[in-house]
Amino acid sequence: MREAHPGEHYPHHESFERKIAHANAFRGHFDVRRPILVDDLTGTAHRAFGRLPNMAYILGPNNRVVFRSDWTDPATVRVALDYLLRVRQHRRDGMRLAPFYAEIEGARWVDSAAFDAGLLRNGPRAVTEFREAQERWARGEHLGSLKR
Amino acid sequence: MDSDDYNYATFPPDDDVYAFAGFATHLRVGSTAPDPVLVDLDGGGEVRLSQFTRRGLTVVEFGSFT
Repeated sequence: MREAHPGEHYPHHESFERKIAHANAFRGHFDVRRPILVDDLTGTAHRAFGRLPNMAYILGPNNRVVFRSDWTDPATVRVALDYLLRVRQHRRDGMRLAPFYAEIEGARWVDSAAFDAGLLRNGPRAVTEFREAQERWARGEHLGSLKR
Repeated sequence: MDSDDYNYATFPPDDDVYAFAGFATHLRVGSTAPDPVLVDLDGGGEVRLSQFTRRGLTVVEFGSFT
């Protein structure tokens, strides 16, 4: 998807080649072993799924949504996965199951040190822009628009 | 959408408020997610998300380096 906090070292994507280069840098920096799938330059997939910067989904066969969260919290994803795998095993065991709908209010750990280090890695401009946005949020200002 | 509108150069993006406000009713549990064509960073070939989801439960995390 698009860069969330672009800076001098990792600016916004002006080409698909840059997007690929940043994805490779991400994989190398965090030693990511999972498959990384890169969206197109206009964010077709990202926009279709809700365009948030760090959302998570768990999909079943036929791309059926079985879990989603507006922020990725690994501990919560693990709980959801364990639950869904247990349900699948119950189904295989022949247990009588009825579907129901549930929602949860999550609470995630805020690792400020890692976040600040990330902003610095992106470049000084990313640090400044986030601090300025924080100050405006603290004053109750709404940044951005409600338009698509 | 124009790629310059999507790939904002300055944080925060204009569409952030809409995105967070709209997520509650967007693509809810039980619905069918889109099946976009994506590029696999390993090898560079095009893949569809369903190539992964047909194998079983699939965690899809969205993110960028920054």
